[in-house]
Amino acid sequence: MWWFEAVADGFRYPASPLPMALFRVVLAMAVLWKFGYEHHRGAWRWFASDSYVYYRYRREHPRLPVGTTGYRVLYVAKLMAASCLLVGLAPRPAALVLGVWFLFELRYDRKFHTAYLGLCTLFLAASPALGDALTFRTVAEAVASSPVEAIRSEAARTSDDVFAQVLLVLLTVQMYGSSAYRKLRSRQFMSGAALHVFTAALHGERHTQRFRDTWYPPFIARRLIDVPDRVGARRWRPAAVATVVLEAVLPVALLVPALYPAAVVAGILMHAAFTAVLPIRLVPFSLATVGSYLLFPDPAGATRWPWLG
Amino acid sequence: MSFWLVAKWTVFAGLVLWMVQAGFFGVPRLFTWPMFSRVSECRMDLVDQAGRPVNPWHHIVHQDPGMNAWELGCYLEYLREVRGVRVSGTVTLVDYTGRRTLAVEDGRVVV
Repeated sequence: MWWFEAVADGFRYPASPLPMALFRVVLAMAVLWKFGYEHHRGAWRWFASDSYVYYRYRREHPRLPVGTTGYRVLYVAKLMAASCLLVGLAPRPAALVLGVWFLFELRYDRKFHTAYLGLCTLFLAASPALGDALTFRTVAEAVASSPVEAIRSEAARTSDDVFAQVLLVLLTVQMYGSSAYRKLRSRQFMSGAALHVFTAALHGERHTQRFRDTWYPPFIARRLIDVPDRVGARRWRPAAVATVVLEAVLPVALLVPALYPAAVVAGILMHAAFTAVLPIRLVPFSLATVGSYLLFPDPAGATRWPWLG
Repeated sequence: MSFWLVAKWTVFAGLVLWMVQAGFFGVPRLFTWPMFSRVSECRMDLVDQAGRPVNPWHHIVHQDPGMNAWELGCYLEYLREVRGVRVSGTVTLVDYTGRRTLAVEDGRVVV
């Protein structure tokens, strides 16, 4: 398998820039989705002097003074960086800025999807080939010749530094492995109670929430949510067990070429189910994670992708 | 062996050790992914001095149902000190240890 060969050979392996560029685009879209819905939910004012978010941040981090102005400078920087990452304009500095932003965001809003996006952007910044494909220049070339021709010529620009891609594959493998292990050791999760408590809490508060995060169909609500704790836990248990099994198997299956297509389908279905639980908030995480599947196949093979003719 | 190769190997080895340690042992931190492993719910039924309901969803970042005892204390302190609101009522905390109902009076947890 290419990943082990690359590690054994000092992170050198002939690679097309296309998989990393595609992941860059998907990751930038995920990040822009996150920034978009957070802005809609008032993120620009989260560090205003009368905000609870700011109050709690100061209580937790008295030695890391970022005030309203500092927060808004970072806020504008993150939006510019995400846009630059999308179009491939100075993508490495853009990825670095985003990584720094996410590390800061974890100081006031600890979310696992934020940690994953932050680590992805930091690792992405280590790729020298990040701007070699699917940039604003591609659009100009596509207009001059044809889209397929433009992308085919970019896909052929192979380089041999795959350090960033190795790290990103490692990150997704470790994320799934750790998640499966932690869930397996959690009696609350394995019993199904965790999923029932979470969905029932959000569904129960849906009318008092300022911004909704859940839209469960009436059938699902009747069957899985508006039921006593014990019944709800029992009905969620198969989903909990299936999640742990899939998360444990997926990293291995993604690395084995023969199992890769099935693993991609299973992974997409699993993340679609996660996203159905939290339809707004989990879109960026699901996009980024499923996008990372592009990095698992042999990167030299991207020049032979069928749609490139 | 070039400087950059040594640097890459050092970063790679350090990350692998970090990922194994944080991912599978010890308390949750960066490189730990216990999503949904310990879920909690915090349901507040609070009113201000004038008897008007106080909606916490207007103040917290995300629509998260979870808030532990420290976060609850911090939120009540914020209402007192920044908003000048001293709430009363009950708060129900549900987590992996079970269900607890706390009484709140004059902006503080009393039980």
